[in-house]
Amino acid sequence: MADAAIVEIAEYHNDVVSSLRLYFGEMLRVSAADFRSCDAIANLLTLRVEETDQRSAFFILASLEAAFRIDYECRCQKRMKDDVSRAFRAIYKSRRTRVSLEEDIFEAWKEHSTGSRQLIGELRGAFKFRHWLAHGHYWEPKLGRRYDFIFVYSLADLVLSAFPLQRFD
Amino acid sequence: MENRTFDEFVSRQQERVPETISINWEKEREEWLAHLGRLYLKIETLLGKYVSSGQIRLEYQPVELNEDYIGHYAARRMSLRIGRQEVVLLPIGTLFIGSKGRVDVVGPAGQAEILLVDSKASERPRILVTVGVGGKLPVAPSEPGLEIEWEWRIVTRPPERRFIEITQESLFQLIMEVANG
Repeated sequence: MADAAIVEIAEYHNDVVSSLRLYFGEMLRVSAADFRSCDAIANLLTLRVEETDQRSAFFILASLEAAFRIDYECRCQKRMKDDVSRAFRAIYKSRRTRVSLEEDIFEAWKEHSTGSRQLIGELRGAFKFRHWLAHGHYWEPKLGRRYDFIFVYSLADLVLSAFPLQRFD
Repeated sequence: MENRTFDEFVSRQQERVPETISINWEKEREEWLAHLGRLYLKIETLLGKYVSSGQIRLEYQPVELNEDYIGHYAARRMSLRIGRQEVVLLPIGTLFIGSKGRVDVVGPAGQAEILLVDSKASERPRILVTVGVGGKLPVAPSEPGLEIEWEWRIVTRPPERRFIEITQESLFQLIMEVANG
């Protein structure tokens, strides 16, 4: 079963997309005789669905970041004995919670675990997309693939089931 | 910026290089495009009755895809014209974990996903990340060694993500969902 937080985001996403289709469907029905209006309404629906798709992908990535950061703090506080936790504690000594997700947390996972390398590579790409979204799309991103809600959800689902991420009780 | 930070950045980039060398990306691309062709052929066959009677019109248009390591390349999208409705099968790419390709099915009322996956899989692939202890990395579980038989499957929307075999019935259902809602 997928992580509850991302399941909730997916369910919310599905509800919003269904609502948009219902709302614009009704507008299309009312304007059925006017082809120009219908085209404009259909284009607007496409834009709204695309915007929703990006927002939902953003929230999935935010949830994923939270899971890694909570795991970091948890491993530090619980003083766990594995190598990832030891690497985290070394970082914690100097930077406490002001730790970089990509340069510190992902690197520690990559160096001190098996099976994480490919997933970390995918996560780095996805977080480039997240930065682009978070900073208002003001540059042309070179992402190397299309990032959308389905892709980001699938990646998050895979990552959250693969990594032994710790949580506070 | 400190030199140490830059040194770390440069050394990390060196580590990443070897992972990309052993894969023949051109072969990957050709295999994915061949699978895409087989998907289109399957759909043509399943819709054969409607295509031959002229009730559904099939068309192909070129699209350009861009993926890490492979770069820009040409593919085809398939469009199904059913009266005034248009449903498009849009290839997205081949580089996905646990899948060898993705095609989106886009219609006026919605969108669905078809994935090229291991024929034995019924859900997402399973990957296990294991932490090292005492400076020793755990040994990664060995691959089963069997050749994967890739098959196209319809995938239900998140959060469910169930794989469904492409049959005439499931294809008709999919087309009606994205065309009519």
